[in-house]
Amino acid sequence: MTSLELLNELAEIAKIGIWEYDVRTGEIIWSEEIYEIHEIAHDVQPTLDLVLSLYTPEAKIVLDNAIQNAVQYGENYDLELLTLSAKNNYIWIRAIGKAIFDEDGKLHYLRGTTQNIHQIKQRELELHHSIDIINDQNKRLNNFAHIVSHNLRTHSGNFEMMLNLVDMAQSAEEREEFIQQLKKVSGSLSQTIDHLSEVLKIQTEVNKAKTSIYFQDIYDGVLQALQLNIKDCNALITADFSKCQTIDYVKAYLESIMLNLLSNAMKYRRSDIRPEILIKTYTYDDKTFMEVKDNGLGINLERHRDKLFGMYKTFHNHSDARGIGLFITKNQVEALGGDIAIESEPGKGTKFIIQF
Amino acid sequence: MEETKPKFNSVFLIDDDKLYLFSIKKMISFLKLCPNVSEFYNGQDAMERLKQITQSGNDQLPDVILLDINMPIMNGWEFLEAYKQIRNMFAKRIPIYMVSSSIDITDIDKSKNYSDIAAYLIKPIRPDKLKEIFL
Repeated sequence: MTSLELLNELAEIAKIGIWEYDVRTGEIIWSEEIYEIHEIAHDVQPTLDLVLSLYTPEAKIVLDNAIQNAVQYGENYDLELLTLSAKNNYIWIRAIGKAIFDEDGKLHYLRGTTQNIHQIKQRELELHHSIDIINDQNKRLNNFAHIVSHNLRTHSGNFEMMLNLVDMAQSAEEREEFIQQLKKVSGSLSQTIDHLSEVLKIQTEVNKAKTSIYFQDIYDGVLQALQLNIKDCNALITADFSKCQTIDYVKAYLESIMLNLLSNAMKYRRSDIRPEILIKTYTYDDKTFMEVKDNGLGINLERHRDKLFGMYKTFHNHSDARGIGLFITKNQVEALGGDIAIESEPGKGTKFIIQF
Repeated sequence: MEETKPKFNSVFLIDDDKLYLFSIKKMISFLKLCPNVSEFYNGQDAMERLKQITQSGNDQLPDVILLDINMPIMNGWEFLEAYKQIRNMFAKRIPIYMVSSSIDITDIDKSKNYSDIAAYLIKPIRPDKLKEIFL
């Protein structure tokens, strides 16, 4: 092969082309490979407008800027940009541009290369995505470790203090009393461990198969389970799943989320008015949402927002409050990549918005 | 054995953990550390009691307060903020001990910003530590 042939071979293998832009005449020359990268007919005469039209709107702004800087200040550039080819394919390229000056120091040409880096870039983006997921999981695990440590510390502290008392006991009866208290400490430790296992289970069950579920079906089951509560507080629950009837989700989670939010809405009701609860679903921006809105006690978000979904955090003088429901709900929603938000005003009511 | 006379006549225990309250009360009584013990399950109940006391001549103010951080309705930090508003009505300075299971450095550092805090104690509170506070 001649060295020219070898050069052409190199360009084809490396998917790299070279171009030259005469700043004075506006004339542009492309090597063969650039036509290939942009999937454009080889007889087309390139112009600056044509070049810019081959990039996505965001990339176009970046490239236009780089060319302006090169022409005005002689600045070179080296960019990774997303192009939209003549055949409407998105292709990542690396664009290098260099200012070429005359002997008298005046800018004459921009010269550079365009290389198809689509596969590498694709892998890089996938990698970034994985890193984001891993970071997210890591954050959740860290948080979980913190919760475990804090809760175990509380119980072990109680064990120690109670055992100190057993040593200090002055009579058999007193000793017996402390043993009874020790049993309570042990009981609440077991309960905490159950709750923590529940959260761990959520993390491991994420990979369980999602199925297509009708919101109405889940709702019917939840209402059945809450029958007594509803009767008890004479709640008026309205459901509207007309805007979005189904979802691909882990069935047990959806049940648990709906049950938790509805039972919470009744638990934290106002005693002076009939509880009214509205549950509805809809889609927005390709995402599925579920809202549960009540006219209950509400909560001061300025004071409590950061603690709202924390483990064992309770906010009302309610004997049944355990501080576990919203903690579990948040974990379930987030484990499947969703988000939970709240709007509330004390005395007016609360609205939970779940983005699945 | 000769007993040291306790410094304090009255203590407020503010904590939502009833098992902890049980132990600390028993320990105070065993060690004869303080004759009057009042317990509150959250900051707000304690705050209401303090306000009541200020209206009836401050006689029944506690001499020391043991305060938990994580509590429903009004937590320890919120109690301290509310406390700032009323402490000028008291004739004496009441030492407040922060008592928590939290070993979170941000909690410990935060407690240093309150001049009313005598110390930050991590649960469990051992008898020796309790004696140090009360004797």
